Amino acid sequence: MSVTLKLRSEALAQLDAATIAAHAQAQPGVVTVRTRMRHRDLLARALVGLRAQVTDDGTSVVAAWEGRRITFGYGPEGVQVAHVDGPGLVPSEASRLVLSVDEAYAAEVQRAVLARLKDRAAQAGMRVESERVNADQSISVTLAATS
Amino acid sequence: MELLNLHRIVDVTLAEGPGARCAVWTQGCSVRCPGCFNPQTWTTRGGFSLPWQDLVSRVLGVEGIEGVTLLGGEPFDQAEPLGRFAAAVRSAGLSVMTFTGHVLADLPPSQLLDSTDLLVDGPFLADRPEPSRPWVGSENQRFHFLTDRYDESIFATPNRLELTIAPDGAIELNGFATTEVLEALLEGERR
Repeated sequence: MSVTLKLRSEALAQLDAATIAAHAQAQPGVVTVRTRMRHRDLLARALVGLRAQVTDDGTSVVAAWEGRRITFGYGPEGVQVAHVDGPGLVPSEASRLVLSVDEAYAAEVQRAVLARLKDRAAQAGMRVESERVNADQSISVTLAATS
Repeated sequence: MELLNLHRIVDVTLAEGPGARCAVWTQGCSVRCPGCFNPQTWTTRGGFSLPWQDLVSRVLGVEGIEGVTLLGGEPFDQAEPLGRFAAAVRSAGLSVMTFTGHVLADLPPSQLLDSTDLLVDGPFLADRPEPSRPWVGSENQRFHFLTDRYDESIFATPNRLELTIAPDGAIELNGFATTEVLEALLEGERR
């Protein structure tokens, strides 16, 4: 008797919509990308990991690199749009930039979910026996019963 | 019959029997124990088909495992192709552990039975939870050491759960834990 389950984390499921839906070049050098990333603390962590200078004024998060800047605008559902600007910016580069943030964000959420599961495992009387990162970048953790 | 109807394959796991093993869940179960942890494996629909020879190739390509565990579903519903698979991997040196909801005395002769080193038999009875032995859900289920590959020393192994969190957001879990532990662990997650 063994259980086999495939689950979708509430937090991670939101990533389905985090991927870019559309982009439009509103004016030269500024590209607006639709996206959705709910957790601004995880977004900030992802941006720091991408070596951005990060500022948060309460309504938007701004990530700046040399010559490029992304302004993430927040609504009640999390980030709705990302404005990318910089000299000579084209939509394809803007999409790539936001996608790279999206991937880093996903990795932060992945780590956060893992940490939450490990915390719960400890409370449920299981200990972490091993942990590994797989070739497909998935993270596996083995929990052993302590009693 | 060449094709297997499978639910899931985990190439390497420490949670499905002694040592590192490849775990194979079959799709389709004629036993259907009330309270089963995996009712999604009852129907013969929804799985995926794989020639047993392809499963042999996949398993023999996995490094670092000592055997294969066959779970369900009900493996003996597919005794013919699974028997060929089990015989092939066993001849390559791997051990075979098979779970069944039938009792051994009721199983007809088969290559699957002949190629199984460790058989765990009996239906899951939700009102008779197993207090100590690993990998089994109820105390009526029995371990049969059909070869000398394993012995009772395996009972010292703890129950384990394995969680895999993919970058695309999927969480996969396998192994054994009590309902209480699973509920505590997965609170707030959704199927």
